[in-house]
Amino acid sequence: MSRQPPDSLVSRRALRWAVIAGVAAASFTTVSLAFAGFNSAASGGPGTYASKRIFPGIRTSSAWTLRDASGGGAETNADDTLSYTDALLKTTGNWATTFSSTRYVEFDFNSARPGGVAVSSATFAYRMAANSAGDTACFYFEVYRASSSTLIGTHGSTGVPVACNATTTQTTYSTTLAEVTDTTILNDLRVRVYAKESGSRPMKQDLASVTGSTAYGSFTTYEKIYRDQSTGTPATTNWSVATSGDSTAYVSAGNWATTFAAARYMKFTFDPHVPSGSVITSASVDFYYKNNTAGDTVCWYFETYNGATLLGTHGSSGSPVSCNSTAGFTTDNVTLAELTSVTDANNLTIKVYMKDSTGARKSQTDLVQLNINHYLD
Amino acid sequence: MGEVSGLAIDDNESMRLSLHKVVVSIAILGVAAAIAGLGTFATFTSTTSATHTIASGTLTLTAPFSRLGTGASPIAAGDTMQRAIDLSYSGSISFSAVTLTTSASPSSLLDTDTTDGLHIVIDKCSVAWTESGPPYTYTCGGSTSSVLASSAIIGSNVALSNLTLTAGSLDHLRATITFPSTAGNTLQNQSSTLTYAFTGTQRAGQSQ
Repeated sequence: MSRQPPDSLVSRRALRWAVIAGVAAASFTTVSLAFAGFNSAASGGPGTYASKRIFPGIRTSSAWTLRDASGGGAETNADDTLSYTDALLKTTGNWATTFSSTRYVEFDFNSARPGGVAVSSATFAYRMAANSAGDTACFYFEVYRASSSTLIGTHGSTGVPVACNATTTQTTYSTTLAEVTDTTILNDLRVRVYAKESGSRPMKQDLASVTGSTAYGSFTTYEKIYRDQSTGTPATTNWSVATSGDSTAYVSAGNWATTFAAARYMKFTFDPHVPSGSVITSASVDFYYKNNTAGDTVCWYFETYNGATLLGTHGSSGSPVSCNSTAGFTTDNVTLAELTSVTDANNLTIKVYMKDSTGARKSQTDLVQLNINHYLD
Repeated sequence: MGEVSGLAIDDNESMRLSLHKVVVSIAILGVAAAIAGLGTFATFTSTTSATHTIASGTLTLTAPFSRLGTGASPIAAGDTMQRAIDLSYSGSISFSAVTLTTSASPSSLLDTDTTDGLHIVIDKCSVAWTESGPPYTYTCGGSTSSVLASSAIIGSNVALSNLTLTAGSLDHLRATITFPSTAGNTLQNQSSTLTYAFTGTQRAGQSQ
């Protein structure tokens, strides 16, 4: 006769739970004892710290608008060829009929903005046309960080160009640059345009600029270095007054007289884009110049304007800012104490009067640069 | 397995029987003890007693004066902000240590960038700081000592040095918050709200 095994007095499951509970209780007791003791807390704050929207710093801007009346007659439009939609065109070398990785034109842009500010709607505007009737010019382009030559964006391709122009009528092609997300990138921007021309002829360019906006307003960035490698052989042309010591100086359109004259001048207009509400703590102009003929002495003084409103005068016909009789450029830096208003800064024109000791001689200008130290709370 | 009256039983059955024996034995002993106890209390008794009171002390850390709630805006790289706070050990028990925990809400690069973000230094003056401003600056008419060397603004349970900690005393502290001059443009237009929690723990236990 077999018997059923009797039920256990204490099930194994109950035993396991008992063991777990015991261990837990022991642990709790031990830990509680370890952390026991009095404590007390006091607090300070909260205090809010907020940084300036734009840190103080000197931002420099060259003059891209240049009107030259050195000869005493009508003003000559001597603006940077590639910075405005106007009658001034830059003609490339001869292109091939097909795209080539060694045939391009390249633009390095200026860096006048405070860094670290978010950019929206950055757009590359390229205005061009074929050189000859019946020809077709096509292009695509790449975007680089100029300082490191790092490729950050490609727009179009050899198979699908950004645009083609089958006329000789200048047309503007605008392409959004999603890769330009802040002013640090914008201040370090290079665009390389690959092109082909159906007749293996040049292309005529009117404009290469980058527009966009920040929280503090819209902007336009201008090219300062132009490299033409359309033929496969590079040739660099800097905007003459944007960079000093680059062997590219602006030669006055006309001849200066032996005395200063109100009708003989050069006007330089800047575009510094100081954000509204900014505080300008200092401003100055760099003006580097020399004679165009060895042995001559060239002198200068200047006035500052907002439109037609005279803001200040620096030097005079009787007491020029300086004179230079050497073969090297004189590097003058003149403080603009009158430039305290953002509106004045963003519309600043300087009118430079010059004279040449021999007369009927030209001058050379290597750099015209506006330096503004500003911040935005 | 055991063998009883020719029947096979298992170990559980044996255990049950043994437990029954144990329980019965304990019951018998309990009843006997109770009877004995009754017998004991049935005799004459006499009691003497003594009473004393043991009361725990208090450990209280307060900040009777604080400028830490005063922020600064807008700040630029290289700026420094000084804020004073007094810590009072107002309970009856002294402290062994005080630590500082700082937090930020909302947070920004000002507190998350441990290199170029805000940093804090804390000094102690043997007498109350002399305040001027705002913006607040402080001078010490007595002697100064370092409580916290330069550290990133956010920290957890950071030990503070050279505090008095004695019950009934006061420490006069000055926090100097620095926005490093190395801060670049990425730290523009940032905002952080900082809270400071000073936590004191009691002295070690001792004979009383």
